[in-house]
Amino acid sequence: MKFHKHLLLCATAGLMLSTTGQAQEWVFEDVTVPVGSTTASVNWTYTGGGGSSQNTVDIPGTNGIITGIADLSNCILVEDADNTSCLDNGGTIRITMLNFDTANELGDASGTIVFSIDPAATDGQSGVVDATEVAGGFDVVPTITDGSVTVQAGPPAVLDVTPPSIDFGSGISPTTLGPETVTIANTGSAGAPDVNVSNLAFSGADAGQFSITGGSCAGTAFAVAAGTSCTVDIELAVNAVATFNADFDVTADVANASVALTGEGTAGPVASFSINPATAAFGQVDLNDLPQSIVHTVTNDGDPGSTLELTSVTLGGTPEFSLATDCPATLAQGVSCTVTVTFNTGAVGGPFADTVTAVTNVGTFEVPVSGEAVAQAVLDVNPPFGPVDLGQGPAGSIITANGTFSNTGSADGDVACNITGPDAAIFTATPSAGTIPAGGTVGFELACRLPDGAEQGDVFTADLNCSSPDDAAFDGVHNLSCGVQEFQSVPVPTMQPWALVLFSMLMLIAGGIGIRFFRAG
Amino acid sequence: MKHETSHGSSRSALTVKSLIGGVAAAALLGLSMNAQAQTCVVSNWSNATSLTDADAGTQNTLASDNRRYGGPCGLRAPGGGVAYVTDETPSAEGTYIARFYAFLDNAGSDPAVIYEATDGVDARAQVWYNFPNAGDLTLRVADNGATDNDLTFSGVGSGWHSVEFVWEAAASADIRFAVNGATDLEFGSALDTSGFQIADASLGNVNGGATGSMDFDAFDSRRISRPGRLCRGLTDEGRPVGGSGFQEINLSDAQAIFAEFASNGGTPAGGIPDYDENGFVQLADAQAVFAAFASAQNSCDINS
Repeated sequence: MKFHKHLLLCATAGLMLSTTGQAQEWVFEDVTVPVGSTTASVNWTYTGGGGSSQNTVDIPGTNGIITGIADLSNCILVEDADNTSCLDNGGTIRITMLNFDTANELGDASGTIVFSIDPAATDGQSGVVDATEVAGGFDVVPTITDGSVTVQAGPPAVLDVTPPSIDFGSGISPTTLGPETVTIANTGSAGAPDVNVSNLAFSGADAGQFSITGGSCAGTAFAVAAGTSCTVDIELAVNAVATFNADFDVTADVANASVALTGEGTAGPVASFSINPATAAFGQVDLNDLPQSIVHTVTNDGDPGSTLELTSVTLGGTPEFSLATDCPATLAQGVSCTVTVTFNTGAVGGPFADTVTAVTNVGTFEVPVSGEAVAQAVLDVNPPFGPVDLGQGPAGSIITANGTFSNTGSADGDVACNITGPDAAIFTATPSAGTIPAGGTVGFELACRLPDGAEQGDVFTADLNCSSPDDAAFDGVHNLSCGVQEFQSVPVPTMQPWALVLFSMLMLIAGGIGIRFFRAG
Repeated sequence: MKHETSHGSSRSALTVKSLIGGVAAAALLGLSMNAQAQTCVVSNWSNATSLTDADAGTQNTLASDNRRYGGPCGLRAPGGGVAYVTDETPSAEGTYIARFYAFLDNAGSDPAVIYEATDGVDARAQVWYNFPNAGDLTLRVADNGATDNDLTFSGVGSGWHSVEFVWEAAASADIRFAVNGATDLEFGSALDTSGFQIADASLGNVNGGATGSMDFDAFDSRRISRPGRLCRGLTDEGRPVGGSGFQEINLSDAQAIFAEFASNGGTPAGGIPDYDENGFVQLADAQAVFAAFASAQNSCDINS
């Protein structure tokens, strides 16, 4: 049974270990001896990881079936230090290694301790080779792996857990990696007892991400006969972009074992949310123009292969606004959908405000909504502003054309027009001013009085300028024109003389034929 | 253990009490000593108040619990009440020079008298710990004008401290106080101690002010010449003077310190193995001694 220990006294020391690579490690062997043995030899090794000039451990000479210290003559067989010592200090073994010069690093060392064993110990009984650091005896905190002495009848059971480590690789989070298989075997010789596994568990920072999902081992407590094995399938649930580390710990009666597990969650293609337009600003809207709608286009313009998840698209609840969307729950990269915001109310009011909130997998986005219902004139004119040719006529004649002012708004609108230009005196607009009732129309006449002395081909122009104090958008110019066109005699087609003679002759013939027909009758 | 007497001077040495068993000391001071077991006693002092030989033992064989400064023995005065030893060998002394080492890390923060010299009735010199502030060491001397003339080392820190003072009875007395080898403190205006004399000296938790235990070692009092500080790292106090004109620490000292640690105190080094004076004999002490030797900074003149 292995015990791993190290001092946790000083975080700084630990940091030094991790950053400089300094690691002094003592490992004491797990030993199995036959029932009835009186001694057991336990090998130990010290690995100088660099940076340490002194290291010391104490090992009690009694623990469980270990009843004393039998022989320390080979306690230090290999050493690389100025001074080494392995002494029985009143029942406690102290192994000390020291380089006097602190700049000299301790080298690797090893040796064998012979313990006295209770000869009456029965199969399965054990004692721990329980080594501890000695205060003032080290300059770099060592890691210690305790050893043990176990008495067994016959060949020992041997726990073999493979592989020693598993790398689940990486996957785009969230995902599940694996399963990977761990094999738990009893590699003891024929006749060896079972390995009795008492627990399977995960430990370490990310233990919760790993789970047993299958395998042939029966649960988490089972026996493995000598020469047989079973398997455990392990999966890693990746739920973040991170590296996940844990140990898979096998606890058994003959030993414990751990499998180092690691896996990585990576980032996939990233979606991006865009909405156009980014606001729903209706401005001031006449009651008669309501309802009005603004259509917003939502697009996933993120990375290729990304998916934009639209969890919800909602309005805040202002009753003057309503929302409609054809957006699906997910949008592939480059795909668009629409969100339509409608403004409607039955009375003048506002300004009203609300927010469209889109909750997605890449964030929450808000579109401000605003609008005000007003009563105003919405004026129009027919013919529309622009060129208006009243036509042509003979000098002294009057050419007219009719038009209409219309008001589709919900309030009356005043209109005023005037005529400007070099030929303004020739043109008239009747009426040239007035009030256009809400929802109504008012006709007007345009007239061009061609001067008496005008000649063929004369053209007269003027501008009819109209505007309204009640509708700023109603402001324009009709470019009026008319011209002189004298009337000409219409040519009457006549017969040539020879044709008249011919026609007369034909008439005589026809008359003669007619007389003869009636006489014959 | 040694007892110095300057027979050629009218101002002879008084007493050296290191609380260690040793042949010469045993013969001279009646110590009960076993060379193997390093039995330590307090009976070489004139009196022991609330202290027994158990308090003057080797403290603990564990190197990590070592509580002696020099040699294998020390004196531990428990806290929470009066506990001290008294030397009554002074005889109406007109001059008095004393040095001792104290480990006060466990004493608590209450003011305590750790040393007191009296004329048989009144205190004429005292050493206070945690006075006037926690961590301070103060020499208080009485004169004909006042009883509380103080010289103070503030915040002396942890570990073993050497405490030295020089006292004399004179109308313009030369009185000095030194801690940890620092420059002597003296009174700005000389005190008038004429007519005073020292008849006894006590060491320990003299007024019972300390709430925790205190350790003492290497007490030395004289009429003339200051004993000075002991040589840190020197594990053989009988070593001949070296080329520097002083005793010198060497590799054998480092080896002896290593042996004490490796044997978990079972093979204690002689002399002063706690080179860094932190109260523990550790491998770092052996390395420090080696470094001093390797860099030729091993003269006891610079390692005291």
